[in-house]
Amino acid sequence: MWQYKPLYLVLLLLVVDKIFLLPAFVDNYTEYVDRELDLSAVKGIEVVRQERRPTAWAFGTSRSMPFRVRQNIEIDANGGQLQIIAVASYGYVPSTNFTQYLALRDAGLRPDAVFIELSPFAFNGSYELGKTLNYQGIPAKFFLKHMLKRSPQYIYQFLLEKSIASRRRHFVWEPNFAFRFVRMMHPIWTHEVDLTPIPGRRGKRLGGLPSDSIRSLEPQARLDIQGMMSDYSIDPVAEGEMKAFMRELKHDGVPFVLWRPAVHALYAEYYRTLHVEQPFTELVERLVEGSSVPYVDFYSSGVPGCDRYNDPAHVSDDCYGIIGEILWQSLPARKAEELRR
Amino acid sequence: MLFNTIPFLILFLLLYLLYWKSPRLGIEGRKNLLFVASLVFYGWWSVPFLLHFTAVVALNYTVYFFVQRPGKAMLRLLIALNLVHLALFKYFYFFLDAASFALPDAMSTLLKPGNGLIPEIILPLGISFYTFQILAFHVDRYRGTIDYHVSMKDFMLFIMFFPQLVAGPIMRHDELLPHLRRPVTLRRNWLDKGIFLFLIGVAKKVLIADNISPSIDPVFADPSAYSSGAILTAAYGFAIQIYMDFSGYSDMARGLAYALGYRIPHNFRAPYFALSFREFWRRWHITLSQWLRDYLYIGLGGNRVSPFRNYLNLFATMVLGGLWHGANYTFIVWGALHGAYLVIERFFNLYPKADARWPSKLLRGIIVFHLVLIAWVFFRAPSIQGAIDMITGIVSNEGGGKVKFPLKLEYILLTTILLHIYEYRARPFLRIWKWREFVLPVAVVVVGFLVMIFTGKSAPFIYFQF
Repeated sequence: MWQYKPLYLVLLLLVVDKIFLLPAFVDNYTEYVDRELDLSAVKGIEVVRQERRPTAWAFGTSRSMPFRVRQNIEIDANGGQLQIIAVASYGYVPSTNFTQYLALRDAGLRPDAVFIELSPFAFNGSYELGKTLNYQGIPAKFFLKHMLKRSPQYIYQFLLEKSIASRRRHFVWEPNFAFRFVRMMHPIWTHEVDLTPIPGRRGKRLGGLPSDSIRSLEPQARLDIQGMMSDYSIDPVAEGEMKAFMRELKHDGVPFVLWRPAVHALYAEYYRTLHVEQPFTELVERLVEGSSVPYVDFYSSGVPGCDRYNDPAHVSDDCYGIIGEILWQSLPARKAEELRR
Repeated sequence: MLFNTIPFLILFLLLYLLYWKSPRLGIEGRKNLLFVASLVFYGWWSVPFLLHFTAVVALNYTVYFFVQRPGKAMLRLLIALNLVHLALFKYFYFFLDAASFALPDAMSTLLKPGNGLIPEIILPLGISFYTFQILAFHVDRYRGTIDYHVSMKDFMLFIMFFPQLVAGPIMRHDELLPHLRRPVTLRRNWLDKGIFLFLIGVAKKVLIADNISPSIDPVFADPSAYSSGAILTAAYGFAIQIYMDFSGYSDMARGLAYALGYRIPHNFRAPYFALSFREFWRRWHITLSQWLRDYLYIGLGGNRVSPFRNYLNLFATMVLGGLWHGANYTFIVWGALHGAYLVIERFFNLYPKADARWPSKLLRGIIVFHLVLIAWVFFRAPSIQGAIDMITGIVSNEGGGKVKFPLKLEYILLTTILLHIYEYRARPFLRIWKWREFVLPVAVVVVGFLVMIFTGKSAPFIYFQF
């Protein structure tokens, strides 16, 4: 029977792999993400449900989160307003955005427009947290329900992650650090308090630092960039999920715009040295090409009239009123009354 | 398809079972299975390029079949056609860039792939390896060393045999073709050896090489932001990474071949323990250096020419060997450096004496390693200026950035040294071989568990790009 040794050894390996299912091991040595995450119970969905004005959902990363404080923009001369709701959180990837959209839609909600942020790190195949978010942030039943809407790359990887426990749960020595990610998995819930409209502050002094006051990236920030951006290559799962998300929005007849956030020149320099630009630009071309989807590139042009930054990676929160207006205007023109539900 | 991925493992296990356990499967049946597996392996990357690859191999076989005894002119034609094919895919951008100063702007723009006249050129996987293997076959036939008929299936399998298809070892006809004509049997010792080599390869690639890469890439991208220590660490890191990556692939390839009943040649034997550059090239990428020696260096006249011409040939061989790795001036400089090392070593007869004492050997080894390291900086840097910035950055110490590896540096160094000791002198390690029934499962569990813990995104093998 020695001829079957390769099979025995693989089976032995699969048995060892199941250590990653032991609760004590999971709790102490893996990146813990809510094991019973139930998207239908996310409190924020109820807040979204109560909204009666036209709404735009802003999907993305930390660079879309400031929409929550500047989500209230005028959309016509008659005082019609658009409520922008950030469905975003730190370090998000396209698959989580798509999952959130499906969960909101399952709850019977529908946006009047969608803003989709394209940040390079979210598409990096070497971005470790992205993998955790990809496959742990979605319950198996929810995945099965929407399986055919997902990209083939995602389906394949999801099944693989679920079959091999060690792929599903990433080993870490410091569980307390990993616990921080639990909160990240509830973007709407986390920002519930922020959904109350805040009156616009247009015309007032802008917050954040002017671009010339930011002179260097702190060493920690540099490490963060390396972790998220190093060894840059486009993740086929992220690209597939973004395309699937766009396909679903088109199918639902929801107008949407893709946009690339502005970053400080120091950060842009890092993009250049880490060879991010070419693969990412090609990705954007693939997404936009032939799809007649509007694309707004703040990365190249900057945010008009708002050259201020919270930090090198994020423009000032106060730029988001301008960003929201530009994104809204880039959508096919329509009257506010038509958008009212 | 990468060897260290789940899909490959599944496909290989399926192949293994069918290959050895299908009833009434003779020599031809097994070869058919291997051929199909090789097609799947390559086609997994790209189906159009699989068709292209198959067509290239079939065309070369057609010439072999119809030209009974090729003359010099036919051999030159075959070499030229295969090299033009290689150059078209691999060096088009490079040559265009080099010629752009002489061409009018409009012409340069028009010729630039992707601008209309020529579609964007993608480098087919393993093209440098299979081109060299095909060329070696034609030259050997011209030299009359292939005295048996080769069937089309055997020829296709010789070139497309999936364990060595994309990154070598570069095989000669006598290393596989005669064995394809004989029945294969599953030997217990070979199977264990195959599993052991595969495990070593996975550990080298996934645990060491893939964990070094993300930490050193930013340093090579922007050395000015890093301290001297960080730049030195990145340079040492790359020397270790490329050894672990490439020799890891070769170990896996040999392991897979053993499990299928074939033995393919060594490609690495403790290269960083070399005491001279001549020895380094007998230990590093052995099959490429043998190829360059037998088909290029000897073809240029070898040792049968004047000393000056001999040095020139040696230097030219290494420069062309550098160019084989890629279309970039950095590879040419890398080859030129090694050429210069070899020429100087030969000119001054700097080879180690047989009775040298160990301090002298150690000093020699350190010098050789560090000169190889300088050449590696050029090999890895994105441009010659980038390599110069790396080297000057060691002295200037301008930046403050540090390099942090996911694994402790001492573990990486210790593993590299242990693997070198094993490759240099395997005998002491063979004592544990008699305990392999116990050792192998433990090794599988340990390596498997470490891979589960440390593995992130598995990067493609460095040599896949060549």
